[in-house]
Formats: sequence, C-alpha cells, structure tokens
Amino acid sequence: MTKVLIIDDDVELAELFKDYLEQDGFAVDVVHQGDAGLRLALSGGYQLVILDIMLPDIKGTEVLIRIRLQSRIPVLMFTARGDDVDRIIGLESGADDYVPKPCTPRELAARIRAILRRTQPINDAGGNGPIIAGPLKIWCEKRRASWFDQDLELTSTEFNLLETLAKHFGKIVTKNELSEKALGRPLARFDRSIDVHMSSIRQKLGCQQDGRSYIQTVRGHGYQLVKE
Amino acid sequence: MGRLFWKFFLTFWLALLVAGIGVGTAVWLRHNTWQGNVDEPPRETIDLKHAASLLEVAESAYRYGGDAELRLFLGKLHTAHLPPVYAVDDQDRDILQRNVAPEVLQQARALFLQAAYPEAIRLVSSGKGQNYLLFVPLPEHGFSGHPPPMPTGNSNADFARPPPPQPDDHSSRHPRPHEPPSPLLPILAGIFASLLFSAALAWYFAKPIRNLRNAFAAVAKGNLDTRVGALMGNRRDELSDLAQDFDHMAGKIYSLVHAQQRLLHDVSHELRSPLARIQAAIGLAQQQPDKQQAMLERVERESQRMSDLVGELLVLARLEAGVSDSPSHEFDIGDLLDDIIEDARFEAARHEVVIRYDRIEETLVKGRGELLHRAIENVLRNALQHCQKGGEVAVMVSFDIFKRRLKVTIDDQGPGVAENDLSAIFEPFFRSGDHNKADSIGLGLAIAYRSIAAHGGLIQASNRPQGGLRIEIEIPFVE
Repeated sequence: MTKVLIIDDDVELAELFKDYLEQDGFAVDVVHQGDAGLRLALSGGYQLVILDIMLPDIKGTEVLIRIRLQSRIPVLMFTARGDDVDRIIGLESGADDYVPKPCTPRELAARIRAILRRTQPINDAGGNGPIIAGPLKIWCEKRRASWFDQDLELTSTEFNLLETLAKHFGKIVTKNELSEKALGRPLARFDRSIDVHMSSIRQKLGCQQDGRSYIQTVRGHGYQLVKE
Repeated sequence: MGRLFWKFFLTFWLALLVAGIGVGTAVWLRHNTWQGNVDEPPRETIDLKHAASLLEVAESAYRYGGDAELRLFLGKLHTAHLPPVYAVDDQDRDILQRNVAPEVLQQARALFLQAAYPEAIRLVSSGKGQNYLLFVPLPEHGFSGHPPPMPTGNSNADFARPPPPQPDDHSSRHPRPHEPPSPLLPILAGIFASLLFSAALAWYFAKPIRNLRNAFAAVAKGNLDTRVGALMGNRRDELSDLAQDFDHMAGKIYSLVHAQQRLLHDVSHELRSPLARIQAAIGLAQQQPDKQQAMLERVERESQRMSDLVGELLVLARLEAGVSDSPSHEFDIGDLLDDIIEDARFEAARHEVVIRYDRIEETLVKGRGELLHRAIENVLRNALQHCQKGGEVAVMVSFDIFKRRLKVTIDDQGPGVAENDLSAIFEPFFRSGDHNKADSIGLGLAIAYRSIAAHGGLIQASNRPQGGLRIEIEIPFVE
C-alpha cells in the first residue's frame, strides 16, 4: 500500500482527507507540526508527502527546502488559491506539484495518483540501454540521469520533464505535452508550473559555451533540448 | 524650477532693487547737499570792530612783549581759527614767515598810507626802529588779491595749515583731486548681488516645497514608504516641520493600509479553512454514503463558523468605522456583569473551570450596552478557553473614585502570553502558537479592544507573576 504523509495544522481538515484517502486505498499518517513532519518525511517510510504552506512552527516552504536537502521524495504542496507567489516559491523550492486550497478530496487523490504514476518506472522506455541525448544519459527504469557523466540530482517532476525532452531530442515539445507527461494533467491556463520546473532544470544543466541554455524556449510553443 | 521659484525670485529681486535704488538715491541726494555745504565751509565772520580789537591786542602784545609776544599771539589766533592778522616788517616779511602776496601787501600799504581803515591796518614800531605793519585782510577793506596759498620755508609745523579763507573764491580753494567714480559699476554689482541673493532665497523656499510635492505625488501613486524628512537636511523651520508632519502622516497611512491588507489576507485565509473542510466533507460523503449524516453535520458546523466569522467581521468593521446602530445610554454595569457571568457558567463547566466573582453595587455607565457586553464576554471566554482544567477564572471590579473610572480585571490560570505578544493579542486573528484553530474565530479580543476604546476606556494584558494572563478593562462610570 502506498504510504502518504499529510503535514497540515488544520486538524479537522487533515482528518477528513485521511479518511477519504484511506478509503481510496492509501495508508495515511497526519502530523500538525512542521518539525515533526520533516522528521517523518525524511524517515523513508513514505512514498509521498502532502505539505501545507501555512504551518504554526516552520513555514511549509522551509520544510520543503529541508526535505530537498536530503531526499527526492515527491512532495505535493497545499497552496492558498490565488496566491501565485506561494505556488511559485513552492515549485522553485522543489515541490513536484501543488493543489490550491480549498480543493475537493477527489482532486487531491487524482493529483497524488498523477505524481505517483510518473515517479513509478515507465515501461515504454525503449530497451535496457539509456536514452542518450548529447551529453545527457537517462536510465528510465532506474530513474537516473547523468549529464557529462555526472549524476544529476532531479526531483521526479524534473526527471519526467527531462526524460520527455530527451525522447524528443532536438525537437520541440509543446507545453501541453510536457504537462501531460510530466505532471499527469493537461496544461491549465496561466499555469506557470512547467516554466518554473524548466528553469530549475536549466540551472542544474548549466550553459553552453556561447552562454545559451541547453534547453531552448520556443515562445508560445514549448521547449526543446538543443541538438548541436 | 517651478512657478513658485520664479515668484519668490522675482518678488525678492524687485524688492531688493527698489530698496537698493531708494537707498542709493537718498544717499546720493544727501551726499550732494553735503558737498554743496563743503563748498562754503563755516568761517569766522569778522567785521571792522573785531579787526580793530584784534589789532589793538596785537599792538599791545608787541609793545609790551616784543617780537616773541606778538608771534605768540598771532600763533594763538591761528590755532583758534580766527582770521589771521599779518605782521609784516619793512623788508616785507611776515613775522610768522607766512607768505603774503605782494599785491595784498601793496594794497595794505596803500590803504595804510591813505589811512582808509585805521581800525584794520596800523603800523607799530618798537624803540629799536623795527616796524611792523599789522593788518587784517578783509574784503571790505578792498583786499582783492590772492593770499599766499601755502606758507613756504616754514619750519614750524604748527603753521602748516591751509591758507586763510578767501570767501570770494570758492572753486579754486577746494579743487577736486579726481573725478567721482562712475555709478555704473556699483549699480551693476548691486544688480548682480541682488540677483544672486534672490535666486538663493527663492531656491531655499522653493526646493523643500518641490520635495514635498514630489513626495505627495509618490504617495498618491502608492509608494507609502516615501519620506521627505531626510531631504530637509539640518533645516529647522515651518517647512521642515511640515516635512515631519508629512512623514508622520505617510507612516500612519502605511501602517493603516498594511493592517488593512493583513486583515484582508487573514480574512480570506480564515474563510478558506472552513470552506476547505466543507469541500472535504462533501467529497467524503460522496465517497462513503454511510458517513453522510456525520458529514452533513460537519458542513453545518463549518457554515455556522463562516457565518459567525462574517458577523464578527462586520462588528469589527463597524467599530473601526465608528458607525453605531444603537444610541448611547446609561445602564448598570453590575447587571451587565451578572448576565455575562451567568451565561459563561455553562461554558466554564464544559472547560471544567470555576468562575469566581463577587457582585458589585449598582454602577451606572454611559455607553452602548451590547458592545460592552460583547467586549467583556469576549475577554471572559478567552480566559475560559485558555484556563487549565480545574482552574479558576477570577473576575474582579475596582473603582477609582477620583478619576471616576472602574476597572474590571479578569485573571485566568492558563499558559499566559509571550511578553512580546501582549499587545498583539488585541489584533485581529492573533493566535498564540499552541492554540487550536477550530476553537475560536480570532476576533474576540480585537472586538473587545475596539469597543472598549469606543467607550473611552483602556484594555491591556499582562502576565500574572503566579502564572496565567490578566486582562484589565478600564472604563469611565457615571455614578
């Protein structure tokens, strides 16, 4: 059974979600404090963490940053609806996705499944060998990637994005396609998640000698892993 | 540079110019008059009688004192600025070595021979054959010649004075050393200096006003952290006071707007939490039909919470705006306290807390009863919520007869509040860290604070030394 950790200080809400998700086939633990949540999240006993951005002791984003220092466990952020700043900070700090609050438990469960689906090994990867796209090597089953033979530290969403780009090496991949493949949901209007994730991948890849990024933005269209 | 600069500048300049021209003209006119006077210096007028007596004295001086006495007397005449008396010997030499123009001497001798003016010209002689012709050269005696301009070869410095006045000749006696300087230079200098001074003064006034104007424009655009005090430098006057007032105002507006924004943020967050729970409950009810009844109750509770929250917010907003639905009237605060305590006993029992309260005598307070009721009730309920199980909440009333104020003190036996937060607990949605969200809305004390303030009272919190929070409410009473 998939174990999920909810870190939220709203006791009643967390219990309701726990109830719902357990009925949906997840094993759920709830904590209401940031530091306790951080400890549990890093214990390795969970496949996914749902993290509220407003916590009484430590800020949710702070918890996320500390989780990311040690672990690549998928993290789903609860953000306030309409608060773009929180959302972008969350994604930049390494959240895999966000759910605006208030949300229906069905939506939450769907998001959790989408994240889990893409963090599980994808079977349609061609053969046993890695996908090679220039200096990038991706082993889909192992969910490992290397860049100029150096291991890349990627969150699961970043991995999925890079994998999708590598599969279409040198071609343009639309944002919608990236959203479907990497986030498991169609692209919503004004949704900047893909761009935020992309910029964090770019930072990890560095720049080409001429200063341009390895990932090129095709305005109004999508992204492209540049083939030299 | 704005219009104000030019107005100041031109006004000052004009004023300076007018003043300068006025003063200049006055000085010039006065100077001219004075110069005219100089042309006719005051002189000792002398008539024949005087001349005769001078000569008489001179003669006696010579007769009884000889050369030395005559010289002394003539010297004295000279230092006393009296008309000179000349004493010329047979060799045409003056006894004081003064140069006497030959024409004058000739005239004197001629007049003496004619015996025309025996009073003014006479001959004295000593026994040794030394003769002196004494005379006073008066114009009416017919002297018209030029007197010697300067004594020459005179070793005696005492007599190195200008020649005797010759009233008949003005221009030649006071020759101008050189022409007066052209008036153009001082006028130009004056205009330049006044320009410079006016510009500096206008700048001095116009600049702070321009700074203030820019600051106002910035605030109007929404930059509420604009300050002008620093731009005023060391200036200490009404304009720098104005700048300080401006800064004060901007700071006040900033904090008000900031508080308003935070309130809006808090409100949206507070409304969002029950909404999130309602949505979760609905989802759960759909997923598990057997839980529908429980979930419906939950939805009801949450919507009640939201309704309460909106209601409280309305009260708060009205209090802040100072709008009242009910008129102010006098009522007995003893009754009010009794009601509140009676209502609270039920909640106290739920929290397993005892309320200690001694009834007070009838005391009239002027105000809005329901607001004061709500304020005290909020404080009391806050105390009940935070009091430990089995603890006691004490409500005490004391009076200050002189200030005509009564004080309601409410003590609990709870954890208290961090010292830094003692004033923050009266802000909307303040919660101490360990407190559960579901228990209260977070507006109770904020409403209490504002309604007490609306009654001209004071509310403050402190930690009791023996633990727990103490909240004191002070309000004026009528009798």
